Amino acid sequence: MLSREGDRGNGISGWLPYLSTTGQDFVTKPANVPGPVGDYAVCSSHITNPPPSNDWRSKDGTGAFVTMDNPAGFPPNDRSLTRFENIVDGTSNTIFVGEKHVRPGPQFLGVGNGGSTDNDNCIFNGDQHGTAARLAGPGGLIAAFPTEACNNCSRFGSWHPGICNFAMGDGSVRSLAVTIDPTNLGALATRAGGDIYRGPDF
Amino acid sequence: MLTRCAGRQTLFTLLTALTLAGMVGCGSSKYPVEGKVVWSDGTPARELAGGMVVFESTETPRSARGEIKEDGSFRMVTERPNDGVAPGSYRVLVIQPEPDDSIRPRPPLAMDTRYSAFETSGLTYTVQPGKNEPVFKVERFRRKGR
Repeated sequence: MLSREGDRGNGISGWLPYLSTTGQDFVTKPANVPGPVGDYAVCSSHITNPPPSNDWRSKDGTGAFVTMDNPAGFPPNDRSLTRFENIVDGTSNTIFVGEKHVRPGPQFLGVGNGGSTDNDNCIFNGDQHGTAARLAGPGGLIAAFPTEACNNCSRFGSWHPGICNFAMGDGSVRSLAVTIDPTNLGALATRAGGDIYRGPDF
Repeated sequence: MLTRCAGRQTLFTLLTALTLAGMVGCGSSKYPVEGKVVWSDGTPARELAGGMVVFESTETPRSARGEIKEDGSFRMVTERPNDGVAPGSYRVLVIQPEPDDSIRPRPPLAMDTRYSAFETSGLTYTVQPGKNEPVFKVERFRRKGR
């Protein structure tokens, strides 16, 4: 889970972020909570601008995990707005968790919402959508490769060549091709879109 | 001697055939697609920098994407940096950039949201062998009632 620490390959220092061995100092980063960046995020929506509020992070999110019911306010109310009964498309057809697009390089790790360009933060910021949630579908294709540019990034992505892994609601894991079409990806992201995935996995 | 030579020739032919078959089997080649997004008055859509152009094939379950740059230009990729796009017809979306999560209330949208859904976007493009230079014209965001 905590494999994407700042000091890649230095194992234990990822679990103990204050004991950096390469001079990487998360404490000075503008993260709300210092510490390692997580690999995984929940799926909140399939489009960036759901009506009426045009905010996928708000209660208009179409995915399985919607936690913010106050888009205008800050901080958000971080209680869940969805239950199992809301997953009408079926848990095997709905993405719960996926790999986050995290670009290689210390400048992309552990920095986040506080005025930075990359919507990521230490994994312990579970209440922040930029850290804990991503979208998949027409509004967010799976990143094609690790270095793909992603402004205020809210997309899934993987360092596996050509695929990205997702845990579905029933506990199964699907490896999706990064080239998957947004319609099929969106069908997997929505909890009650009435849409069925029709593509090959990869 | 003659037989051995013929055998070699057969082997060569076979190898060539296999190589060619392999190249075809690996999927169609990709071609550069470098275009720009403009507002309805023809000016570059600079406000969409950081957003995306999304292609969805109408023939296979495939997609391509391109990040919109500061001058409204974009370059499409499929799965590797600068790999281009396979020929064929595509439905097209323009996705606006995500504002910084810390900005409250959220800033107004730059572009009409209809370009972000296939049902309403109306944008299409056909990628052809060779250079492709699409220009996608989009409307600015307008508040309802205006």
